[in-house]
Amino acid sequence: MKMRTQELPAGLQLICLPDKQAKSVIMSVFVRTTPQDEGRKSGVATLTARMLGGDSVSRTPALIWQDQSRFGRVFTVVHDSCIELTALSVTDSESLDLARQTLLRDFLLQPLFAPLNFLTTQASLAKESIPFDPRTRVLSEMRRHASGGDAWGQERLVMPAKGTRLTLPDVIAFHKKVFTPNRTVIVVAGNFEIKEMQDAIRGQLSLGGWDAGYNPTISSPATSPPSVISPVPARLRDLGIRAGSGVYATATGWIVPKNTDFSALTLLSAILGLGKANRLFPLLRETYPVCYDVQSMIDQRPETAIFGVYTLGNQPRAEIIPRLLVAIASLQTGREPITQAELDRAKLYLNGQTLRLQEQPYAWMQAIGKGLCCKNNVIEERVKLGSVTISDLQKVAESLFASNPATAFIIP
Amino acid sequence: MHQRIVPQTVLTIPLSRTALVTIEIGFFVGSGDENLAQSGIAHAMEHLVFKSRRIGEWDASHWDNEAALLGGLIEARTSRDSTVFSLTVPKENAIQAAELLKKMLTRPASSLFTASDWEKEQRVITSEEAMGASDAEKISRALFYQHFYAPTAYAEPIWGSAKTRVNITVPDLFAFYEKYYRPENRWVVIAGGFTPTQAAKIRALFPEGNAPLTVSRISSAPPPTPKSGKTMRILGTLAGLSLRGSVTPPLTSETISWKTHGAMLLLARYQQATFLPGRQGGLFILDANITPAPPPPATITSTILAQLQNEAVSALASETGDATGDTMTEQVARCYSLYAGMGATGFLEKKHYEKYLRQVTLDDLQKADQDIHSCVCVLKGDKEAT
Repeated sequence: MKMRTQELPAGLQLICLPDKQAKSVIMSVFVRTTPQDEGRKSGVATLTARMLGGDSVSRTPALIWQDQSRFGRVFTVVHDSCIELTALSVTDSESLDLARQTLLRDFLLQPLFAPLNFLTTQASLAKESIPFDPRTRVLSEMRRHASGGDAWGQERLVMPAKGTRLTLPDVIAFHKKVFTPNRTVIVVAGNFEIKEMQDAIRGQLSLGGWDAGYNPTISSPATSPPSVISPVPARLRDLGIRAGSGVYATATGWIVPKNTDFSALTLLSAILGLGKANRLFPLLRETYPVCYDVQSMIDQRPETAIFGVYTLGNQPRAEIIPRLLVAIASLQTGREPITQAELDRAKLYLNGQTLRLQEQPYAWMQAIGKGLCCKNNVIEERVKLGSVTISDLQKVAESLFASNPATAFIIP
Repeated sequence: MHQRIVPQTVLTIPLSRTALVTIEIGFFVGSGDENLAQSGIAHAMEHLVFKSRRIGEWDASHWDNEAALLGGLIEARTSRDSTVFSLTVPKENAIQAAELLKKMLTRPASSLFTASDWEKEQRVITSEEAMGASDAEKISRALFYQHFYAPTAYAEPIWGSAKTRVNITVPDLFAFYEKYYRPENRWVVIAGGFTPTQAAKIRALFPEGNAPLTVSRISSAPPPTPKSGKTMRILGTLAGLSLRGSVTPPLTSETISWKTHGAMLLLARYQQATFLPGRQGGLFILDANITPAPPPPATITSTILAQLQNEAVSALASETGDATGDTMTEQVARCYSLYAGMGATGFLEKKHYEKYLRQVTLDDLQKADQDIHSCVCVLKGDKEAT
């Protein structure tokens, strides 16, 4: 898939992924935000995101819905480190115009935070339930503890909690603070003309003064994220949650040191626990069958990242974590160094996975947009995989695993 | 013994806009075929074929390592109707991927696994079972199957239970493998950007696929006797979830009215429901938490029907993949395998699929709605703490 990147004067990044044979166009706006932006108003990001499109300066709620039925639809998603607004549209120019207007004008630039919109959104959120997911929960807890349990480490943008009083002025203030061009990435994929799309998007952005000359106030994090926590305080090292879910889950995580080579880290993750051809799957599922699922993951945030390994199954952590740490220590100390065969296999596997990702335009757009919100260029990172050497990997392993890990576990 | 004829067993589905190929090898044996005392044997076999090794040459990680070198990952799934093994790779590796899967699934039974492997694997399956027990969606589906199909094997969990797995011995597993993991009991699906030469070479790997097959199954489960009901069960420890599940008439190739099936697909699309077709009837699941409630079929106008038909036809032809992590080649292959496992591949050929969908009338939709027997499953619990 071809790609064209454009950075507008106000700091907004616009990425086009044209595909002449596609039958539709997907336009996504990613706005970088973390729980820190919410301050003590936890949940305000989710509430704000859900109010977008509920009303606008130019269109009534009914007209916004009516417009969507003419081109496709628009929806919002709250991720760990950003808010996503996405429009799906058919490809004729009239529909595309309407899709751009609805997404950029009505959802992004000129939303109307009217009291009725506020009340109905709050009522709708209050009714929602989130099914319990042991993987998400254990990883969230691990992230919180890996970062020392401070505000930075709050696991993710969450639903407004019971008892948190959020007001309409909170929403308006949050929107004003966060929805700025320098925090925004727009990714467009599908069947369209690049120049035409770029011009039309700039035209819409001018409505909010986002196309040029915008002078944003760049808000900096209230507290700096830690680069290394070593050692993890004993009270934070292990956190157990009794979930009554019937499943044991563990998550073990390390803060990724600043200036880590992310291409090497991605390969290290593949060698340790991505897919099934790695070190941890045969160890924890085949040799000692102590879990059903074991995977490594890299959780990126705007300023840093956490490397983690999670397991799901029916065995307590004492069966799992010591074995996992022995395997990590063997790699870190060079007792069982990474072999060329492992590196070659991981590269081939990741190449296949990249191809898979690129064939799912929406997933690929999300990877690009979310990555850029975390100041990480997924495309460059994937291109650089080929040149990573064993020595690069060993360096990353040595520094990454030098600190104590934080762990979290779920007890049935 | 239940037998049926399947007209075509190597299905090649060329897709022009992809650099990937998905190979699936499926066997006409699933948990719905099992003897109740050994419930879980089909799923156990799915796990154990990965253990196949050659002493001194390769270990049980061999297949996963080889797949990774091709840029892919071997996945497997057991359903009530079938057992399927799947591998997606860059298209230039299509032939090697087909060879790898074939090799893995045609090993002599004695080289597959040992008693120790089975003992260990039971612990893995117990883990999998525990995970299923924490997944509200899986629980609700299992309850629907139990409600509608008891006391047949179709009602049992796919992985069986600790009580039934303990009845399965290594000789039972070897015998199972020898009997059902055979060329005359399998189908192959190849979907993606392969060349005609690659397709020919892959077909040649499965020469039996050019002739119609007689499919053998362990047993013929009795036709379902759908029951209607109200709330089934309340579990106190899970997230709040309420689903309205319904069962449709059986969808076997012998008895199916494909038009009725098409109506079910369209109705599911209209009501944003999940439709899970199967040999013994389809499960139609609605999220009862949605407000406002999904509109009834009576609100479908001829314009809406035409729109639903267009969407359903283009969904199959869609080449965009989805956000669930499945590529377009995987979605297409899985769709074909689903119907192959029911012994009904013909429906998925585009001309038939489109024909039956286009024939559906407003009356058919009303009738489809009346055909389904419904009950509600409520899993009640606290919201996850956020």
